Order: sequence, then C-alpha cells, then structure tokens
Amino acid sequence: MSVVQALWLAVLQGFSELFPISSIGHTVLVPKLLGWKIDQRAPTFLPFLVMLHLGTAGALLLFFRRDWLALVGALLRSIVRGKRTSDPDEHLAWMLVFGTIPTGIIGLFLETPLRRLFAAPTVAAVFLIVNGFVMFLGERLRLRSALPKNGGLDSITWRTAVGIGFVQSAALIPGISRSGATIVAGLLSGLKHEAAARFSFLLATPIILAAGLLEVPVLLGPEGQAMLALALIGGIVAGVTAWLSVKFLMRYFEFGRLDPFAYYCWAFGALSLAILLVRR
Amino acid sequence: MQRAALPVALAIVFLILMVFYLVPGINHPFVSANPLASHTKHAILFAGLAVLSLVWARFNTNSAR
Repeated sequence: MSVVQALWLAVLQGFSELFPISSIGHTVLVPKLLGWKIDQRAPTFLPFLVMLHLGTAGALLLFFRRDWLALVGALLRSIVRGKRTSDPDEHLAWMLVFGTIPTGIIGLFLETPLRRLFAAPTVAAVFLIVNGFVMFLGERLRLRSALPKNGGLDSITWRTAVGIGFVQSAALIPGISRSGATIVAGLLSGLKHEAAARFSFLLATPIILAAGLLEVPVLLGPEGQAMLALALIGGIVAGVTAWLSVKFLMRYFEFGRLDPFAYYCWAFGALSLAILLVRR
Repeated sequence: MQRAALPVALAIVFLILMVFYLVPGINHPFVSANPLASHTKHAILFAGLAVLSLVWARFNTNSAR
C-alpha cells in the first residue's frame, strides 16, 4: 500500500463512516474499482485499520466532548446512587448502554462470518443499492406517520434503544450504512432528524472506539511497528475528515433529510455493479 | 431481594462465560480465529455484561426498599 493509497483510504473511512453511505462498502468497492492490489485481510493492514478507527472515534469524542462528559458523569452518579432519576443526561446515557449491548454481542460473534459471506465487491454494490432503498423508504414511512409530539432524545425508551442497537448490527454487512440504518430506525421510532442523527453518532462512538482499542496490541506487535508511521498519519487524516463530516452532518440534519444519500447510494452502487460486471 | 435474583443469576452466568473464553485449550464456539486459544475480546464482553447485570441487581434492590 502506497502513501497516496493510504491517505485516500483514510479520507474515505473518515468521510463514509459517518455519512450514511457505508464505510465498509466503500472500502471494499473503491480499491477494487481503482484496481488497487490491497489485501485488506493481510495482518499488515490491521494496524492501519485500527488507527483509522481510533482516529474516527477520537473525532467523535472531541466533537461531542461536552455531551460525553455530562453523560459519563450522570451514568456514574446513577450507578453510585443505585437509582435512576428523571435527569435527561442520565436517561440518554442508559439508552446508549442499552443500544450498545446488542451491537457489541452481535458484532463480536458475527462480524467475521458476515464479512466472509458478503465481502465480494459485487455483493457490496448490491447492498449499497439496498441501503439507498432503506433510507428512501424510511423517509417516506416517516412522512406518512403522524409528526412526533416530542421527537427529542428524552423520548427514547429502552426498547427503542435496544431496537436501534440491533439495527446498528446490520452495518456488519458491507454496503449497509451504520449511521443510515440507525437514523432510519430513530426516525421510525418517532425521533426528529437531528435527535436521530445525534443518537446515531453517540451510539457509534463506544463501538468504533472499542473496535480500535481492542486491537491496540496489534499496533505494538511486529506488523504494527512496520506500519506505525503510515497508520498514525492515516489515523490523523481519518480523524480530521470524520470531525468535518460530523460537523457538517449535525448542521445538515437540523433541516435536511436522508433522500440525497439514498440517491447517492443508488447511483454509486449501480455504477459500481455495472463496472464490476463488465470487467468480469 | 427476590427482584435481584434474575440479574445476579445472569451476572454469574456471564462471569462463568468470561472465564470459559479466557481459558485456553477448550474448544470455544463462535470465535473467528483458533478456537483453542484464549479469547480476550469475548471475555471483556462477558465481563462488561456481568458488571451491567450487577448494576441492574443494585437498582432492583434499591427500588424495592
């Protein structure tokens, strides 16, 4: 992997991890379409991937730093007290815990089999088109239903949080977007766009951070040492791109909708599929 | 105290699973790499679930008072 390829992959990860367009789908499709010979299952690629995840998680933590300080504080106070109160930070913190449990369990047990099953670029292209339909239909179903009275983060119940956590696991399939699926699930549960996006990004942080931190020993091994400089640069680039992406998206979802991302997924998925089928 | 029985039982099950995935030489199901090796990530997950079950038990005990 050259430095230019590494930088492109870092930008792609930071950008597509938070935009509802599937980061895994893009990291499977783009190198294949550009004819890059990168073995993403090679042991030397893992340290690079770890740093990209840590960079993205770092950007999310930095962007939502005030939220996280309030949430962690409220959660710890609640645990020490041994009682739940009506504090909105405490409520949201527990909802994030409930939402993280199914993703953590499913991710750990099914990530590898799902990746092996669906890792082919043509399959990723098909699922990217499916992802477009999920977002488009999610918006349409939302428009048909009555507008929520509240629609804020305090209206999330533990059942909704667990449901969104389950939906987040669908992103293990290359082409299905984690943020897209969770924002749609949030919208269909009665959240407003901004609240659904905020919950989606907050819910993503522990999982992306854990995915990076649990692989830190790889960075300290021989493969990690060989790739350390490139991995560090990749992590910083992914972090900066992720920070810019989340800043844009939080503003966008104050008024914007998911439709444009659905159109993008259809266009890029169909184009990728056509190119891959012609090249066969 | 009865309301804490289920979460405490769950915590014990999760702790047993944590130890199970830590001990090498046993055939561990649902793992991506060598099933006979020690699997720290699985152990961390079950440790986290055990802690959450104990927190749940504490909440239940306090709300029953």
